[in-house]
Amino acid sequence: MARLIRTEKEVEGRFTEQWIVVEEDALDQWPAGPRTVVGQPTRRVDGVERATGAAVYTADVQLPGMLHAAVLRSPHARARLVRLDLDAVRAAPGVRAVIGPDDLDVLTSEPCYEGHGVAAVAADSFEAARAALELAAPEWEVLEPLLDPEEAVRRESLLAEPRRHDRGDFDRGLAAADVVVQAEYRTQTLLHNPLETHQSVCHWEGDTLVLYTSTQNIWGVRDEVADAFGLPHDGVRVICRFMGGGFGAKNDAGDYTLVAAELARRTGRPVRCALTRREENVVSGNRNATIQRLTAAARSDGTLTALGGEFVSALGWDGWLGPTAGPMQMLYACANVRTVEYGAKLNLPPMAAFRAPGFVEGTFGLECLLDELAARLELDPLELRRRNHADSDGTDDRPYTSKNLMECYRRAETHWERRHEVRARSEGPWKRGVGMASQIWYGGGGPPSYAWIRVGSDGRAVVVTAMQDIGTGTRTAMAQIAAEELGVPLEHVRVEIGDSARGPYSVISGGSSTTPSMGPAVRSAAADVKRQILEIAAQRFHLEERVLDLKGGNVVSADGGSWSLEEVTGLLEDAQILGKGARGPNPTGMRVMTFGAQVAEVAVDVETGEVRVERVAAIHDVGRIVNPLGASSQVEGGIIQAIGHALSEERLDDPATGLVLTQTLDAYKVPTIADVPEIVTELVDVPDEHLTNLGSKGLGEPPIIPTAAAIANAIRDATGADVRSLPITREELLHALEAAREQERRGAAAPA
Amino acid sequence: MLLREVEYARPASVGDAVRLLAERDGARALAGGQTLVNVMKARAASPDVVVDLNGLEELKGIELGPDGTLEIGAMTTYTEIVESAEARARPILGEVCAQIADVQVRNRGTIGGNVCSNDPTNHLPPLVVALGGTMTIRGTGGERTVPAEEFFLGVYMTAAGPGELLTTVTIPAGKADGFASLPIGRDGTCIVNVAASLDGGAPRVVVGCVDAVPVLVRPESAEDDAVRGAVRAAGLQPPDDVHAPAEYRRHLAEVLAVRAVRAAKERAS
Repeated sequence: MARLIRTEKEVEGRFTEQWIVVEEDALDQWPAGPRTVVGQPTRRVDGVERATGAAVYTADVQLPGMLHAAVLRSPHARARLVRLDLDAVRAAPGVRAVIGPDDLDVLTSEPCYEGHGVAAVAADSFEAARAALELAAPEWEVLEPLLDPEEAVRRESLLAEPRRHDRGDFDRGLAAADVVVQAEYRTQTLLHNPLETHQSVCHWEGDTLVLYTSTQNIWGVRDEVADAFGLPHDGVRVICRFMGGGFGAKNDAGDYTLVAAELARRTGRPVRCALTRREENVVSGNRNATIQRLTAAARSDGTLTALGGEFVSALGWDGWLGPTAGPMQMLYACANVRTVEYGAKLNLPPMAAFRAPGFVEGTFGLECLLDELAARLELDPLELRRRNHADSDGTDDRPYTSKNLMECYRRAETHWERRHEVRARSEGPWKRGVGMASQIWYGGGGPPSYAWIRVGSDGRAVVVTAMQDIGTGTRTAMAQIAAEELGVPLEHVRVEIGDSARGPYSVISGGSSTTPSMGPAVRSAAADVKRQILEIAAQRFHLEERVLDLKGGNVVSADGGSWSLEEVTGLLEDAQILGKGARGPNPTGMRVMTFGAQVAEVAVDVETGEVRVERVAAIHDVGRIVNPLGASSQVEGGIIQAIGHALSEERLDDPATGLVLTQTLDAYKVPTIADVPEIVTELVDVPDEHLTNLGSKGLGEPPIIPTAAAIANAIRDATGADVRSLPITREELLHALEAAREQERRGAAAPA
Repeated sequence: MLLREVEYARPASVGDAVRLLAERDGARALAGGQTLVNVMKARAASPDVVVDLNGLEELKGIELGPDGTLEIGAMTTYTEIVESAEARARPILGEVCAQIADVQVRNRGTIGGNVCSNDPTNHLPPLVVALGGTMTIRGTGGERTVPAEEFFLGVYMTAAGPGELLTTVTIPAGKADGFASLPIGRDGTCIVNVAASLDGGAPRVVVGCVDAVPVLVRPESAEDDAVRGAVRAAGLQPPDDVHAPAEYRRHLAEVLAVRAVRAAKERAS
């Protein structure tokens, strides 16, 4: 029976209370360990389609009569439009429609960041659209931008109220400490750089807007666009069968979608609006920069007595304040914690969620600070972390649904022990060292999410749900879960996703929530189908349902009888067996979190400041693993992206004008395959017994969280240099090395 | 970004290619396209016609003379140099070509394109200067040769002027060479690179990425201090850009020059 409950819903650390109708989740979890299909390394069911180019991405969508849009964007961080010649644009060859600041909410005559949309045009070709925009000849009154986040905090230019957390007595905790370390850490603005830039193709079929878009959030885009155009929600049909990455930047409709929809409405023709790579690197969102002033206090045995932090996030013109203080509040047991977080509103492009927003930045600061503390205490960094293990959630004392961080530490030991041998391999200017860091993050998912399954007379199952695959192998994982429950081979299951008109609601592909939210719904739908098949078989073969089961594509009975599935479903001819399933609720009064630890090995050229990451071992605890092959791909992707964050990637803004200097992939350096180290993945793979019928948590975000801190700690281990700012540029590392040598000289000169 | 519309010609002979380049003011030779196509996309160059040299077999190949001199056709790709038995006569050539960008770029990019585009971050301009190479240039008026150290005139500008084509890069015999570079990421653009050669008396140390053209430095000896001092005395004024500050590039020039000369010394002994 359906149940109405009031529940706490979490996406990427943002909690909302909401009413929700949930179905009972009555299925028992499968026993721990690999099953017939679930838990087996499985190649992507859509791998060949993707590799051969057959998979249709939004970038591939070509509709008859399709027009191409281009957007006139502000070349200034803050300005007022004095003049704009849209008539000249309208008269340009090939132009079919032009819209300006008065025509759409996302267009403005008073841009507040570089790239803010001003006008847009639809033309027969993209080149014609761009050429037409050049005739707009805008004249600007350029205004002084606010760019410095500290200045913004002083002026109270904030996007949210300062967020404070104060538990225990911070000052008493400080007073009780034998050692106090304080340091300022900085993290940079980062760009998502999905392979497929943000884009949509919009096309009106009567009163229905058909919208192809590269999104992580089919249903969110549907609602946002429907509201903007005053349509009933299902008056917008959102289609996204394949998408080329998002990393959090594709959670919303975006100005390009609204521009395409409006231009399509005005012209009666399909319109594509796709960001160029340069637009992508300016306006599509970013991981905001942070400044973190942190304090850690401990007794000589390593017990933390106080943790404190002031966090300033440079959010840009719009956005939200990610949980940068989250790791400090949650990662370790500490009674006295005081944090304050500020979200600075600036004349810079708005931030967007980016793979574990807040926690990536906050973990860098906290986990470097922990190593500085360990050095002062002359304690082993891994041992320091063990001694401060949190058995329950520090913010509200809730028990964890499951936590195997100590097991992660135990498995990390083998890799941690390598440090002696790694250091010994230092030679010439190349110094080697090892560092580690821990990880905590959300990733439990939640309701609502639904799946339907239909089985035809051929005994083949089709899973239907209107979810998207951000690229994590969603089709494969869902097919595995359905195949496991139905007792059929993986090849007998198809997964149809990506169309809001063809399937029920599914969760956003964000916050590591896809598998933990959708997986249980798919299993529940499969169980519904299985029950019906067994009911039919029981009647057909005059047996009790309880002696029947589905195995290896057969209906089997306890007394040894076996009938192929088709023998049962074949009775139905054109009739179908229809099952439905819903995601059940999360356990009340408990905290669902993911955990892990990583150990990084680096080589540092102390003459040039070059850092090479040579090996990363990643141990994560995310409950049951559905597809070990897909899971290790997730871990590798997260670590590679984190290496870019640690060493080479940074959006640079002109400090006077606020214009983005790194708009190309030459200027903004993403790691390539040549920069990828040996990556060792270990997954604890113990189902979370309190979480759903599956016991799985998400893995999209956890692997990117601890890597940068582990690398920074390894650099300190190798060279003695304190690196407190990301990215760890070579020239700054040389300065840090010089400072470390200076300190050593002074230490040596000081009287004993 | 999309390319502007551009006329395309694929001549059948070097003579035809030179004629096409001479006839049309807005003509540019297309070798591997690894630089030209990018600058066209960025609108930094807008040729009216690209003259594709890829069909010209006479511009390909490596010949090793009896005295050890290498004659390298301008359209020889990096991969061909890396794999060539003849090119091993001067081992540094293959070693440096193997460091250029990634496999795809090495399969397309050519020695001629690399030196003629003279992007200041390219690997080969400092190398051919250090090795004392000679460039053979064909124009409608015939052929001429230019020493490598006089070939590079400015960013994207060389002695091969409008209507001319570099046909051959000649590298004399030798072996005591070294190269050291620091790219952005393992296979990215160089921040600084240095080529050195000890063949023919005093060391020739050539620093790339720090000026519009490779900077030739002549230290008095191959000792570390002499090399470092000579580079410092050269008063380099490297660019300050998104990849690195000028001060860091100056520091790197000294470190990498010492490393390049040390590598050359090792090979000499």
